[in-house]
Amino acid sequence: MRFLFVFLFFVSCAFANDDQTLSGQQWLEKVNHAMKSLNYHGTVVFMRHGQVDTMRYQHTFENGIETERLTSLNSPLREVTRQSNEISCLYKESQQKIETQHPIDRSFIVNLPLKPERLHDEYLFAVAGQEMIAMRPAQIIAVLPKDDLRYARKLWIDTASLLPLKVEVYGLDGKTLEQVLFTDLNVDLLNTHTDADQTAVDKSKHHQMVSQAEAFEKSPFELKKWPAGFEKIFFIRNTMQKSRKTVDHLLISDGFSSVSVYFEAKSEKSIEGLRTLGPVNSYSRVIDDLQVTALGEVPVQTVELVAKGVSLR
Amino acid sequence: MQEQQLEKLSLLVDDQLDNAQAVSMLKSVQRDPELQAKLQRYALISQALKGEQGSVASLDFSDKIKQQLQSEPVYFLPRKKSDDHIKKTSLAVAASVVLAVVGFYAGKMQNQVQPFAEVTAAAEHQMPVEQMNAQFNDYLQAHDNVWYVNNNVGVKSYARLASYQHN
Repeated sequence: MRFLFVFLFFVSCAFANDDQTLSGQQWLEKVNHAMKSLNYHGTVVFMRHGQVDTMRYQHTFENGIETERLTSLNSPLREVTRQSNEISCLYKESQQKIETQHPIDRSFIVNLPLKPERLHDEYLFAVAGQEMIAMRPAQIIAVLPKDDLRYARKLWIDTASLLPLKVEVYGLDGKTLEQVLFTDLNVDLLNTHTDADQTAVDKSKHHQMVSQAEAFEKSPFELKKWPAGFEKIFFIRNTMQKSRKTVDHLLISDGFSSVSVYFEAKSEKSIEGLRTLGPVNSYSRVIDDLQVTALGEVPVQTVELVAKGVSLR
Repeated sequence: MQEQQLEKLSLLVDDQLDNAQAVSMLKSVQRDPELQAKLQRYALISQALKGEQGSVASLDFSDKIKQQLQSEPVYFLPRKKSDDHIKKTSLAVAASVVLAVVGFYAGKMQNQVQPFAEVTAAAEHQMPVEQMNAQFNDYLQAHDNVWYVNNNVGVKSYARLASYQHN
């Protein structure tokens, strides 16, 4: 991990553009705004845990509402739509439709912190070299964690539109865990949004997050330990999609990485220990009659730390 | 009777007697020097007829060998005691090493067996794998909507499980 950190740091220094006026943090702030406010479409390739999905992607921002639509080009044919925090997934072959609601807006492409300046103790935002992605000049920003509790990642940012063209996430051994890559990107010039709309959306979201996070303090659960830089984002009672079980769900995040903590009544058969799926790790334990699982796109030690940090009030 | 025996001897040389008759005939030859002489002659005739190179030992060939061996001097050479001692010591050391190695690995095996026993015991109280995968998928989708992008079948096939007894 340290080797990767030093290596990427030197790469970033070596390729740093002397004329570059924006810092890594400023690049991230601009990308975050562009991702939410612009209308754009293109073809995206998702490479996760050995699986490749190529999808048509469309993002619109109208009347303060952000919509993302993904349409698969290969079987199983499906269309996934996110309108703010409402998600629907239509499987075209079986006509099966799944609708769900996520407490916060999370992009299909990449999640970025609203306030990257708060993460200087946890990450180094390095401005690296430039490359061509999808025939567009892209600025590389390396997001390098300062501990072993989160993954490093690199963003290739379109210098014209400030949209992310490529994202790579690296494991602690430096190997690529996942990639998201635009093979073509078109920015639609007609934007119907105003800055006032954007501000209104941000305010409502912030209010929603705070009120939901506060609910956790009144719950019978307590989280005594979690990685620095992570914040409680929401705490909700959720019904699982397939099992229909009622599960209490706490989400903590540092903006790039997030960990969900699930609390449910222990059934006759419990789950204990570690599970891994590509970049996602989960750690389960039983506390009295409670089944606790911490899950997230973070290293093993992070989910273990969070799960072991849970206690009952 | 004599003629019958000679006939059988001829058949014996030509390898035309069954096992029981051949054994019986050979026992007779062993007892009767006259039959032995006949056998030698028949064997020579048979080899001559077949065009083989004859080489028949004389009748007293084995007796001569026996006498030769008896006339050989016997040397009683004293063995070096130290060699014997070294051999015994080496054997003892080797046996001790083998015992120590076997003992070490037996202990190690016991230690290794213990965690697996715990896993087995834990597995008895754990969910079936399919149920665990279903729960894992539920958790994944609740965690991040990006998991709706992935094909769920693929998610299942790539799920790996490593569970152990929690202390």
